[in-house]
Amino acid sequence: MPRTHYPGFDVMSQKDAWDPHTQSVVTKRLQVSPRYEFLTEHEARLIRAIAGHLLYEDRDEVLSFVVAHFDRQLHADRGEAERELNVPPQADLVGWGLAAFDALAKSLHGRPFLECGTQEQIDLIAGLQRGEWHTEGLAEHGALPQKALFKKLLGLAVEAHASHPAVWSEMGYAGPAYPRGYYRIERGLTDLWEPRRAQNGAGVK
Amino acid sequence: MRDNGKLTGRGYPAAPVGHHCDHYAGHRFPHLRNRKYGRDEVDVCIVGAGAAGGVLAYILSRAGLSVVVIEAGPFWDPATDFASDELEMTKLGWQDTRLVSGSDPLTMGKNNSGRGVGGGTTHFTGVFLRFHESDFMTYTVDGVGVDWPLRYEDLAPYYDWVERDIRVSGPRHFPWGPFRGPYPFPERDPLSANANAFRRGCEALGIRSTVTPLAIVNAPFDGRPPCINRGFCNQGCMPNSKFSTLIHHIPKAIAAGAEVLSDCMVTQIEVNGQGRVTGVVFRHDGQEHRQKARYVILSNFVVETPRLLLQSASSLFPDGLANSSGMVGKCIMPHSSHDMYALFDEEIRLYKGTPVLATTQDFYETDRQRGFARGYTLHAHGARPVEFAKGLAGAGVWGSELRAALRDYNFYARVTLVGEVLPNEANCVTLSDERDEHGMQRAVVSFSYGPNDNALIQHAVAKGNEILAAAGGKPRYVVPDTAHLMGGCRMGKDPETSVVDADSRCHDVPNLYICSAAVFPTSGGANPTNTVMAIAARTADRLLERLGRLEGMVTEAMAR
Ligand SMILES: Cc1cc2nc3c(=O)[nH]c(=O)nc-3n(C[C@H](O)[C@H](O)[C@H](O)COP(=O)(O)OP(=O)(O)OC[C@H]3O[C@@H](n4cnc5c(N)ncnc54)[C@H](O)[C@@H]3O)c2cc1C
Ligand code: SF4
Repeated sequence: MPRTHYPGFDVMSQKDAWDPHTQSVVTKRLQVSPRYEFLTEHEARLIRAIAGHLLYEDRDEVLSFVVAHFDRQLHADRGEAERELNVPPQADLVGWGLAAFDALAKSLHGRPFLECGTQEQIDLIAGLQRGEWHTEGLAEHGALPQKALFKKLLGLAVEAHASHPAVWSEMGYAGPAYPRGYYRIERGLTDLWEPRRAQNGAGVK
Repeated sequence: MRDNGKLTGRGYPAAPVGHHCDHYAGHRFPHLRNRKYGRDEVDVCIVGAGAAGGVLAYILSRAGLSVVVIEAGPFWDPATDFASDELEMTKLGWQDTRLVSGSDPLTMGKNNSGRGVGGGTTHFTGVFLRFHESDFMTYTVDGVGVDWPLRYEDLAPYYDWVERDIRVSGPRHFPWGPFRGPYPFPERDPLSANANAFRRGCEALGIRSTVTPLAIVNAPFDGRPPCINRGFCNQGCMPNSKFSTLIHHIPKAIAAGAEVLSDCMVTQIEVNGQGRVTGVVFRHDGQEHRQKARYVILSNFVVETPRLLLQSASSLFPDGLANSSGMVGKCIMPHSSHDMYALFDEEIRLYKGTPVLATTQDFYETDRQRGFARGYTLHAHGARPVEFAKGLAGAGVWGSELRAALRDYNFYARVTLVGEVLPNEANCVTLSDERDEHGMQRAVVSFSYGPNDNALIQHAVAKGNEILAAAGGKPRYVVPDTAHLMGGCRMGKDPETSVVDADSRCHDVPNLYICSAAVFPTSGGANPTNTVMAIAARTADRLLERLGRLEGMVTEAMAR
């Protein structure tokens, strides 16, 4: 499938029009520290691979930001807004869950998750979404809350991914708009700095 | 599980945001050493500076009462704390963990509860509707839910006052309910492509639609510029075009003499041997403080008010304060708020313009032929990238399908439901054994839809999709969601079945008031904040009357 309807659009080319606070918030996403406060190197590699599948994403710089977002959320835990009864706090859930990815992969395919093939990895994730794995024997904590783990991983991955300017550019999202605002908001109209659909009609299915 | 429910002990609470925490006219301090009313017994202590708390503080301090407002979250500065960014601004929601259960466990946080001065109004969408007459008497009219101890006419003058006070913009003629306009400010113009698609779809189907009444100014007012259509209402309005109590009522309350404490979490309500409230205990920066008051008003919303009352149990009030009815924490209601997405051949660009600009209430009142009681509102509703992607992910979409949807983001239009949910005692706030960093027991929030709620949702989703299809879209995704919590300390005439009376005063404790969305006996099918604020204005008026201060500002303004 074509990657974008807006080839060549880079939302960061507009950043001088944004207020300083927003500029600094967004620009930081492009310079991610390779050091982690919470995650081990192995956990970070697991998240990178899992997020790659969840998001159908292969760009290094985007995935680095996604992993950094996990690290930050789990380290400076401001609370997770809501957690289902009987599901452990997110830092524990993710730590336990990542260990379970390897344990599951070994029991299913005889090798750790990162050494499994692409389809094996994807199927393992899809099984979690459906809650179909038998995990009782895999860890000391009993059965893994698979669906809760899937939801947590997908939620954290998606909110980071959809906050990365490279993804905004692809979506054709024209970005933050203060103090400039949007003026030509009516049907069919665009402000000058907004991306237009490519003329050769990389149209919608 | 060990401490704080942690298995591994990794992860720890982040340091609070550094802000001033004590504010009164001419002063603000990053500490509590120079308090204005620190040693005094004030007339009124208001817990929570949200929609209701802001209005109460404004009216009561203008009437000359000594008022202290205590707010758990920061006193935001829109210019430096807000950003045009979804991820960054999740901090406007109540992030502390709530435990959730039931067959439809709620999404909390920014989905329904604000934190910081302004409360939910800093990140609300600004849709500003009144409830209809039937909303106040669902039992009498439809045999479901309960009747309110108030009728529409009791609130009408307060709706008038609130709408005028904040200059709500809206159509010259509003087609539904008892109030048909005009609004203080003219309706919004131009409309976004998403609102346009919604109105075209409605038109084709013979459904009436209107430009939405909004608590957003479209002309300069009170030093605030008109809206620039940046679309970040849920992330905090940076130009201050959207109303919030942070920028409107709280600064005016401070100018009129109120003291506002922020980053101060109330953890206990204190009671004397006569069963009267004497004040509150709160924590700031790990230290415990007290505020004495003749009257305490809890405006801290649907989850935290019951939590605080249940937590304040004592020998006089063994089941929790103000809970002789057993109704504290019971009958919480969200609105069902499903999102319908349809794919168009043309660009819609959901990020542009104020998110909600068009609305229909053609399905608001009960129509027995539909097979359920009560009804709903539908809005054309914009969405930024994170909300869009997280919504689809919440509906189970991931991998290449999610990626394809992101690619086509600009071609999606969206309709959002605000559906009435009937009260049910099984939907409630209780306390868990797990404790937070203040040592308070965490809330457990339990919620399941009932059969009437589900039938309503089904009808509304089909209608939303019909509208989108009639405008030329292909319905693609339905994202189940909820919004706007209400209830948990409902008002009523009977002390055995309700927590407060029509004046928001606790049946059990004469100088304790509860005034927020928590007092709603039923949810209505429209966005609630106009009603929250009208109740707050009426509560202030009634309290002033009780205190013999009839020169109350609301009364005065209404006479004009
Ligand atoms: C994303 C979103 C969009 C919305 N859009 C709309 C809309 O378009 N139209 C509409 O009508 N409504 C909307 N709402 C709903 C609206 O925000 C609420 O109805 C309204 O804010 C409720 O007002 P309140 O006074 O009851 O509580 P809140 O405004 O939530 O205020 C409660 C305050 O109490 C504080 N608090 C809680 N516990 C304590 C404690 N122990 N000590 C001290 N302080 C405490 C909180 O920090 C908070 O500031 C929206 C809500 C959300 C989340
Ligand atoms: S759309 Fe208007 S009201 Fe909403 S945040 Fe932007 S400027 Fe403020």
